Amino acid sequence: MKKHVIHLMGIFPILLLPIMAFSQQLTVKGRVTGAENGEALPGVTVRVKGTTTGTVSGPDGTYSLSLKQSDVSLVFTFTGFVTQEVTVAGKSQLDVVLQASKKDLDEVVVVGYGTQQKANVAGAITSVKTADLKQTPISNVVQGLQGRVSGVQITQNSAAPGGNISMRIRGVNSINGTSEPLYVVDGVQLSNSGGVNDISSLSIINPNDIESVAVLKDASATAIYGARAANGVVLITTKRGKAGKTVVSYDGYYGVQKTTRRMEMMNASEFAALENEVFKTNIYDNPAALGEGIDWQDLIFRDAPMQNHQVTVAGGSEKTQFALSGDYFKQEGVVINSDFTRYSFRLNFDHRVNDLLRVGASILTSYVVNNTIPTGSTSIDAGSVTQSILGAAMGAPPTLKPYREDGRVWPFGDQENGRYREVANPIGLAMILNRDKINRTLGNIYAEISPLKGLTYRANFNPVLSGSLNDFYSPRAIMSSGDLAAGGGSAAKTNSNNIVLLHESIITYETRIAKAHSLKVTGLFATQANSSNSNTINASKFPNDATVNEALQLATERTVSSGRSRDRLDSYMGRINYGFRDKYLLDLIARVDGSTKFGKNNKYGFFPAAAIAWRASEEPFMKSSNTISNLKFRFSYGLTGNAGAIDAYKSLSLQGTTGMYYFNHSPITGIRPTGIANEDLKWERSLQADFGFDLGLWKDRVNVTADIYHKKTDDLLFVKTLPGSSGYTEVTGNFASLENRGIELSADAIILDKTVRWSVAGNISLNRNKLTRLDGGLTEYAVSNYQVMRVGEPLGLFKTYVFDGIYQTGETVLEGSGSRIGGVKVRDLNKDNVISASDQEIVGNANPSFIYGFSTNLSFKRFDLSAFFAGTQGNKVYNLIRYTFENPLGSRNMYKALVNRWSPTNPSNEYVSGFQGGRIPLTDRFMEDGSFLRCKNITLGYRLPKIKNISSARVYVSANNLFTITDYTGFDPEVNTFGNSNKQIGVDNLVYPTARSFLLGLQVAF
Amino acid sequence: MRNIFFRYSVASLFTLCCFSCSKLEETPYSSIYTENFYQTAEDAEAALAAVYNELADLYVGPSALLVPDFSADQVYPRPVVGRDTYTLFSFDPQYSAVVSYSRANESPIDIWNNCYTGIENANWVLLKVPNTKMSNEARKKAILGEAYFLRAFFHWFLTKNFGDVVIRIKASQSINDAYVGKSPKEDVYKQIFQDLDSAEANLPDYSGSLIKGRPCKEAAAALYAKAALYSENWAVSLREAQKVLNSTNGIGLMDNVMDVYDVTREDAARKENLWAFEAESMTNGRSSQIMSLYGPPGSAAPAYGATSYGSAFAYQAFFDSFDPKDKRRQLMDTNYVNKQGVVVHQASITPVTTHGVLVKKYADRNSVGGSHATNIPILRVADVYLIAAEAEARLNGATANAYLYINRVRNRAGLDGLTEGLGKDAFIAAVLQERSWELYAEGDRWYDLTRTNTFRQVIPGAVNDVYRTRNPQARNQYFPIPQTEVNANNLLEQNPAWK
Repeated sequence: MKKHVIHLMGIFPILLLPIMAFSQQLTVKGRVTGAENGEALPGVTVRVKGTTTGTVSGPDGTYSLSLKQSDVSLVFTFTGFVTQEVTVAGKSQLDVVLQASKKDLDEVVVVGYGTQQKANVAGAITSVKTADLKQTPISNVVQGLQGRVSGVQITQNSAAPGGNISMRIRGVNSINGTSEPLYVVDGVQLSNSGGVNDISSLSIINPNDIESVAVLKDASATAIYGARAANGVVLITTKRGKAGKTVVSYDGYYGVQKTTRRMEMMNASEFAALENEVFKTNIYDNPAALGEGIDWQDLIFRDAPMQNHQVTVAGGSEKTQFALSGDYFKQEGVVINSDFTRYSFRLNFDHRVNDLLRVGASILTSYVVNNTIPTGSTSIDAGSVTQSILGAAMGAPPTLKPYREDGRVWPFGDQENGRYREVANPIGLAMILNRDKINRTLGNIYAEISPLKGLTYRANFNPVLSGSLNDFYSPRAIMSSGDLAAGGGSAAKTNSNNIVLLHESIITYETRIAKAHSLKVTGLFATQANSSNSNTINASKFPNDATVNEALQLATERTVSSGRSRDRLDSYMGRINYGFRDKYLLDLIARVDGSTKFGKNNKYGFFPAAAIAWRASEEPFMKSSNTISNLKFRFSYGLTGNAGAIDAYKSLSLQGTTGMYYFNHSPITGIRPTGIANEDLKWERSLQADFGFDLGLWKDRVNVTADIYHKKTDDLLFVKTLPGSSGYTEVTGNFASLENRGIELSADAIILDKTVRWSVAGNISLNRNKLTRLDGGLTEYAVSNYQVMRVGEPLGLFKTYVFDGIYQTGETVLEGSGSRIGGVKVRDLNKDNVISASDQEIVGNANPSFIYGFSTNLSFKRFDLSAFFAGTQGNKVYNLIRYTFENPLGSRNMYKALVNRWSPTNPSNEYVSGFQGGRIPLTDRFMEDGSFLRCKNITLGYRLPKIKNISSARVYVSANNLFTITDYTGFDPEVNTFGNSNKQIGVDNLVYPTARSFLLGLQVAF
Repeated sequence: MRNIFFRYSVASLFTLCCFSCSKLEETPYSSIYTENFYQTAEDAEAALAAVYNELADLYVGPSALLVPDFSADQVYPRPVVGRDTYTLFSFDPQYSAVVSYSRANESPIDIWNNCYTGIENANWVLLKVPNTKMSNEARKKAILGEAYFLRAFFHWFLTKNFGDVVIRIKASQSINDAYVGKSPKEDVYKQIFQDLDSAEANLPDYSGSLIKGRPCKEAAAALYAKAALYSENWAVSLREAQKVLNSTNGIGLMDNVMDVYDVTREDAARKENLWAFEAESMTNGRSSQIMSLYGPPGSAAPAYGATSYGSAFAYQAFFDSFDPKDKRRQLMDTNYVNKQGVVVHQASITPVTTHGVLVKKYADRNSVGGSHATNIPILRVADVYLIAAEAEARLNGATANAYLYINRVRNRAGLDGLTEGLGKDAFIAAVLQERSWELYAEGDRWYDLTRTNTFRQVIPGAVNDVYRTRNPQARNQYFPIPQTEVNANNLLEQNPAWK
């Protein structure tokens, strides 16, 4: 095996070449080209073997090097190509052709606090290359990972522009804590709330800037992140400059998005007939005359453009390299008045001061403007049609009008004598301003000192500075005159800023003892301080809408609030990577994390892990094999923590305000303890065992990686229900346990590599989740009216009544069912002739049997064609949209299917009659199969022939979310109304629907 | 040279690290540490206001009225899932219907939670305020008196609904403190009496300058009398009732019973309304649903308030049980005047029946939306007269004094004195009937029926065309403890009849 140089935090081969002055005795010149197309390779490192003397090839691939003596060898190294060694042997002209590297093993992967040769990795780490990430047009890097990484389930919680995404690495690991992984961007740690209406903290990063993403899954890979590692870690590395020709490139696309599906609702005459039936009076005299009426979905959906334009300049000299990029991304949403705009700027800079010292920085700054409209509802029926614009559009009576004759929006409260005031005019909902403006700067400034061979000290200073402003205004114009009388218009402004300051001191010592023993020791001290401030002003009752929320002093009523919090995390980490004959690998990792947020009795946590690996393919008996080119077995075991959900001050007893009470007609606001102190509060503990292997066949033309894992999480943060007699409802503590077991398999293969090049890749993951303990011997815990947690079962269980058709004329309506003839019949499970809570049963769960993704890449001459598919199988989705719109409560529109509702003459067994007088029960009828297979992307590209001054150019067209194969009846099966919740999974309640998009793109490099 | 420099700097950095291994203590910037609270007079007032906040929560739903009144024989709800469960006695320990349909705030669950939260808040006042520095010692004393009074009130509210309940006299300072088992009803009453002794000792006498909304010594005695009546301590009940009725501080019945409920005479009526839920209709005020529930549907009658739903009505039979000259019957109506000034007759009041009877006690024509300013009476002098009449009769028979007490109430209502010469039982029955006429829709009647264990005879007769059969079981004497509460507390057992 070749000896590889291992670096910290990024790949800077050139930086190790010191500048040495010496007399010129002999010069060797030449040109480096690539084997595939014979094109010049700029930026290739040319080094005299065994010395630090070297240079870099220029823009045309040429190099020139002065030598002291001629009997030396030159080593040519270039990322993505096989390193080549050539003897000079007195020659002065030495042209070299480099072969593109096929061997995965030469890859360097990013691991926590450093990089590692892929061959030497003993943990379960999956790397995703930028080319794969960028295949689909994404605003957020996490979107690009969907279906690409085994063991990782990614769900777009809301498809709104800038909408949030949930990532689950090896299942749900928490109940009330977060299950989102830790993200590390160029050494800067970020967490993502996953909340459906939160803006993802990763959406500020331009995906085009990313060089690679590494997903750390097992305990040995993640334990170095200690108390925040239990959900896995995602390491994101941005592109850095390379010595050599300065490359200017443009990368951009423009496209249009369309809705994939709409719900079929009743037209005006059908609706009017239903209304007459529901209210048993003639609200509409002649329903048939009303015709189609308004199609409200047509009014809120639109074809929306999206575009991205990026210019990158990268290059540098041997001493200094840089990468500079600017990006503009704008996505308008398929629902009116929603959009996301990002301006981002990045500078990566590395400079070698002298042989000992290197300094550098990564500065990423972005400004995001996000206009959101209300989607997603947390309540059922009534709330749905006012909280979500989708619900409003579906529920809006087609008999009403969107606008008055003068063009102003017409509140429903002012139409039809206010009969429909409980339904919101969707156009009015869209007029509510809710805009976030966020600017955020991620910085990493480092100094690296190498005082001795093999010894490096690196100091990182990482600030993350964020500021945001939320503007909210609900105008008077959308209020009915009746509501306006009580005072109209409400506004808010929220300013927040958050400062994270992280210092890391990292010492690395790397050596090889007696050739057989390789040893790398890493030590870390880190301290991180987070501080947040926010100020909110709420104002209401404006005289008019003229000033929107920009003159809150005009409001009649104002309230203010402010908050500040601060916490600190101190960490100590040690890691030993030991290799014997490069065949037997051992990693030992230990981290200590201490956080202010933990309870008084548990300030520090200790997280050890170990991994062993055996590279069987390096054994003599396998080395000669023509079939097996790589075989490595890995085993790891370790402890990690999850402190992600502990908010500052959570362990303390603090005072908070209650409502007020009036004495002498004036109020006094109450103050009381907000909870009971929990001095034992600490991180969740995950103990994970992982066994896996990496297999390469036929010179790594086919690669297979498989892992099996078992992860037990104890001390789960659980918001335990307290007896109300204590005066409090709940306490957060470490009160539960769960486990995840799973299998992951991924494979890739090059099928053809001649004129036609064809490669395929795919992965499949199975995870089984089980709740193993709830504090206090509790066996079942209701999460909502249709979901429970039960010990011994996975999270995300649906527990409802069982739908058994419709009560037909003459049948006996069971007591307790609240039903009637023509109403829903639920099964009397315990056969006691009474319908009660005990007639509910577990009807399914939201966890998929497996998730998978696969891709194919085909290239022929100048054309390339790729496709990417992702899917889930066996998961159930509870479709609350259907519950709401199959429940004719009156005053809101229903699914068109209800035209065929029950009546004495139409004994339907599906849809209840119009006259219900109440809500229908939550039954398994609304639980649907959420399995889907989605064609995420198809791209056809064409590389333009050589044009003067342009080194490469490619145009492409791509279709995204082109089709989805599913039986699900809602807008889209990929849905997660409750976003980051670990308990409420697989619920669809009117979230922003996924769009289909078609793009035209151009990539040019100069 | 360089190497030495670097070695030192590395070494010093690590030393720095070790120094920074501090205790990792937290500084809460935007909330007050419990340790640092309860220092000033304002802290003490705010801590006490938190106790009253739970009273307000109890009356917003208002579970304090709906739970007992919908169970009893005077008023009934329009049948709506969850709300009709008390009328039909179809609730279970899970309160399934109520929980599923988001009506927990109208249910015994709300009573349980708000009362105990109130008790917890009172316990903090009693724990901390004695050490608070206050220049006004009299006020400090009164604060403690109010906390005792409220703690007694909440315990009484709990025991009259649930029977044996948890007694909480210690604040929850650790998670272990959160778990306490229940005590027999008798012990609960002992604690109530003890707290009321302290309340009487600390509270000021009734006077015109009493802070509106706060209880006076007479209110404590009234509560004492009522609690003693419920626990059948007749002598104590009579003693305490007499303390109220013999008070010379200006309390007494309003001359006109209608004025008791007239929002414009609210302050004048304080001499009778010894203690009430202070409803305020202003923005950010505190009010309750009760006005809107009793007003006709569709906010049709301005006299009943700006927003009303027609969700509850009085039984026609109850309306008919009044002597037509009884002024208290005027607090109900069988027609209303709509916005156009047109009289809407009884048959058209509600779609659920042609016999809708509207209850007017909480009407407020100046309400802001559904927020009324009409106070909801909790302890009235009229109630105390009837308590005195009953306690006297139970102790000594239908004495002249007993007649005196009940006739004060009857005469004020425009009725003649009670038939002379009744036997003890007949007299007591007359008092209970008088209580029904006097205190209907004030969350009182159901407890008269349960404490006398007569609900199983009375309720089956209180039916109409909306509720055709009503059959409470023996277990309905007390409500089941919310099952979630039993699940959360291993020391707590469900009421035996509900297991």
